[in-house]
Amino acid sequence: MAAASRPLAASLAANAYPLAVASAVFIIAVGLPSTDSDTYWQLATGQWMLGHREFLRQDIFSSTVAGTHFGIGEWLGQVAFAGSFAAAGWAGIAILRATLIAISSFFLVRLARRGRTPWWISLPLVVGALLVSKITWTDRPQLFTLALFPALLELLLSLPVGFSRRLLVLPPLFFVWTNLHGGYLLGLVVVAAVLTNGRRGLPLAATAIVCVVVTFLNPAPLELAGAAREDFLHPPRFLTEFLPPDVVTPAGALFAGFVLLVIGTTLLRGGSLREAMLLAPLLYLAFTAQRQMLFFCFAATAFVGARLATLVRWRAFELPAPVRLPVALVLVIAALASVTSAPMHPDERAYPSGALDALRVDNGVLLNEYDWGGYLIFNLPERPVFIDGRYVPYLGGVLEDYRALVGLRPGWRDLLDRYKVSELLLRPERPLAVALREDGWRVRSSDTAGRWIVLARP
Amino acid sequence: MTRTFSWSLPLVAGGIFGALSTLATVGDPDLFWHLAQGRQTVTDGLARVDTFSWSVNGLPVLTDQWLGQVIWYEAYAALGWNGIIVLRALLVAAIVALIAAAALTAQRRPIVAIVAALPAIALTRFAWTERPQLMGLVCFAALILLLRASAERPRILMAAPLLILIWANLHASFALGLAVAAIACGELWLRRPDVRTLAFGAVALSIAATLLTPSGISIWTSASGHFLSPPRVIQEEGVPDVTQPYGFVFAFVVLAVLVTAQLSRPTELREVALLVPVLFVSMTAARHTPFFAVASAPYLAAHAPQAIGVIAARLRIPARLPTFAPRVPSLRVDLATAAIALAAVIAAGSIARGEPNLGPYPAGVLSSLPPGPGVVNDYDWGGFLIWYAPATPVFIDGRLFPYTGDALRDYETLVSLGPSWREVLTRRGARALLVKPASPLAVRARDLRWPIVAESASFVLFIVPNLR
Repeated sequence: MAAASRPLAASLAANAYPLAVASAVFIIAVGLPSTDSDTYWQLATGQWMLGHREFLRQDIFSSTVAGTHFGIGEWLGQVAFAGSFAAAGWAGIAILRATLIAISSFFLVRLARRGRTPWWISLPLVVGALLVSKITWTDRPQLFTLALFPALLELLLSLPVGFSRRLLVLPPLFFVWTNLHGGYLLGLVVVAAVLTNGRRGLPLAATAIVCVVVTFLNPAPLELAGAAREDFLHPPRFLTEFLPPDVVTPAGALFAGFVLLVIGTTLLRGGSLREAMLLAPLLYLAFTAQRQMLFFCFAATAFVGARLATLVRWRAFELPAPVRLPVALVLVIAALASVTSAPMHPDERAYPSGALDALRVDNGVLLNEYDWGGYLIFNLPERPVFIDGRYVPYLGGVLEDYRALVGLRPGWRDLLDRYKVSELLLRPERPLAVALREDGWRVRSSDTAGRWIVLARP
Repeated sequence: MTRTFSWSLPLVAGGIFGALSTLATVGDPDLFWHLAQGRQTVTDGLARVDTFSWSVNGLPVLTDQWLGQVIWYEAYAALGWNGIIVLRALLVAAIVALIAAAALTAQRRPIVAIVAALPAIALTRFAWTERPQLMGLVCFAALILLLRASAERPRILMAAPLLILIWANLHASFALGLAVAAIACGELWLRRPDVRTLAFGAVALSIAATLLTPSGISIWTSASGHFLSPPRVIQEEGVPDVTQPYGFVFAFVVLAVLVTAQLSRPTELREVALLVPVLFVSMTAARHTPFFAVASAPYLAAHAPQAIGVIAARLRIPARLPTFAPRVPSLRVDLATAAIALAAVIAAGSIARGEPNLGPYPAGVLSSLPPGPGVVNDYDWGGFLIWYAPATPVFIDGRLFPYTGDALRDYETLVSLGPSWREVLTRRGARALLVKPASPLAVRARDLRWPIVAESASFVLFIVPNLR
């Protein structure tokens, strides 16, 4: 028993710093309420699958694409969120989120500490990378990729040459990841990048092949890959998270800082083929959309810290080893205690919660704001939505029609009639809302702060 | 004294690309108001208040591009629209020649240098517009060459203040030039204690030079406005997008620098000082992306072959550059090449199709436009109307900054059919709308059966009824 506890103690001591940071991040993340509009439809989908014990393969939430095929690539992630919700309500969602972000932080610190990078270099890098990732701290299956990506990276970068038992972790990891979220494709890219370095030998190559094979073991092989390819080649720019990185925003400025740090330090100190193979594709990916910035920043922390340490030679105070573990344990206990602070309700300020009562009476087809579709699916299941954040099912024409309608493009009246729209829930400044109010549509309900309006045919 | 550098190859490259640029027709939306302002400066002196619009008439306007506007107008006055094409071709030739020259200073193998310069040349293609900003790009390419050359001969830095003086009167991008020059001088100050006075003097004189413009200290307003809060509604001020051709080339250049840095020998601080700040600026807006490509061309020329060698070795591909004995042509050859390149560019520009491409503009509406104030026009057509319909002042145009505030807000309310659109029309006393048929405002006006004076597939002119 004593012999077994000694390696555990050593392992804990070695991981005191990552553990402490992960615990601190957990405390912060668990206190944040849910805000993302996609959380709602992801939850509704997961709840349906849990309730019916089957995959939800067709749309049941909308009036426009009802019955059409709907992707189930993230089914396990959706079920996980629905399960957390069933167990502890919105607090369960917050705890799951905080756990995944804490896992991500743990491995991120381990990445940043590679090459014995001092804490005063690695900590700002970790904080910077986490702040870049903050825009994806939304309660969706993509959080699993946020956790698994740095874990995979850390595992791959710490592999010894030849066979290692840690290689055996990869196939099950990819099997689970494939069913959780489409980010597993990025994981395969990372494996390929490390593989091209060529020094890991046959065992890694064989493991990589097995990993590719297990990604087909899911209810919808290739479905996620297809969606991910579309996101990469034709990112839907009307969604904020798919806009290119903007360096005049805080996250964009931090991302730019990482790019400049990587290029600046590499110019001065050089790099390696492995680093180039990893960072170049991730940088390109980051340029395609804001939501992809974090992967480059996470990977960069694994290399920049050690180089910075060679450029700035300064010995800062290091917490003595015997003190680190107690500090980490205190933070772990604090993190566990912070579970009680998990919010019991989502932050609904961005949503038309005040309109729900007016909308419960079925007045025919409802045309709703895109951003509010998920919220309505979850909170007003009796009224099918016109459109929602799933967006892919709507690409066959509904999305374009929606934009033509709310943007008052030529032919909008025909579209209004074709879809038999009889009620609207829109932002009051939408050209359609302005025009229909002038045309005499009844205001059934409106927000005193001017955020939403419900209009009905006269 | 043995010559170590020849301009022949850069001039040949410049001549070729300059001549090729004449194939593109004239038609940038901002050209027209730049020409109008240039004409006004030449004929009536520099105007410090707006005279072209009815929405901000009499309010202050920027004068930061006065010299560039005058030069464009003089080219037009001399040769008509072909003068514009010739001037644009000469500027393109200058940019290409300067990029190639900077690459050649870092890489003596001509083919390698030109190949390394190609991405930068390709990216500048998206800035080959008939506007003072093209002159700014020439100045930037010249500054990069100057700073590269000053690493070995610091006295060359004394030319920087003169360059900045000219640049500050041409275009607001001088601020980037000043920042890059200051950082490069800072690096020199650290590295070479013997030239600290020179480095400090070059920066101080350059800063002073920026004040020698008609705008005085307010020249910095335009530059900082563009940089700190780029107006994203304008396409070229948008975030660089790698799914667009220019964005793809930009990403290619950034990745090329990253991979080259990873696989080649480390460089000096000077390289970092030149590349890193410019990369940040290039990431701020689509129109800034060529700057990094231009700045990085010499680095890629010097180091990319080594990086390619590492990759080739990894793939077990034998890739060795053949031995090379540099031969530098005489000054006479350079002069002859310059004369031929110049003649080729001017000749190509003179015989090019001069008339601007008015396809994107409402040319068919000109005879129907009511004179005097009161026409609300589409933003993209403001410059066109200023030049072609001077009797009808515009509501808004591509100058943008004079309109920032109430006028721009009102315009946005109108074109997006905001809730107070009728109130804006009444308050502004609008008499007519000249808008794109698919805009919400046009759709609504058609719904309301407002009288249409003229229309086509690309424009519609409504008469605004009395809304009171």
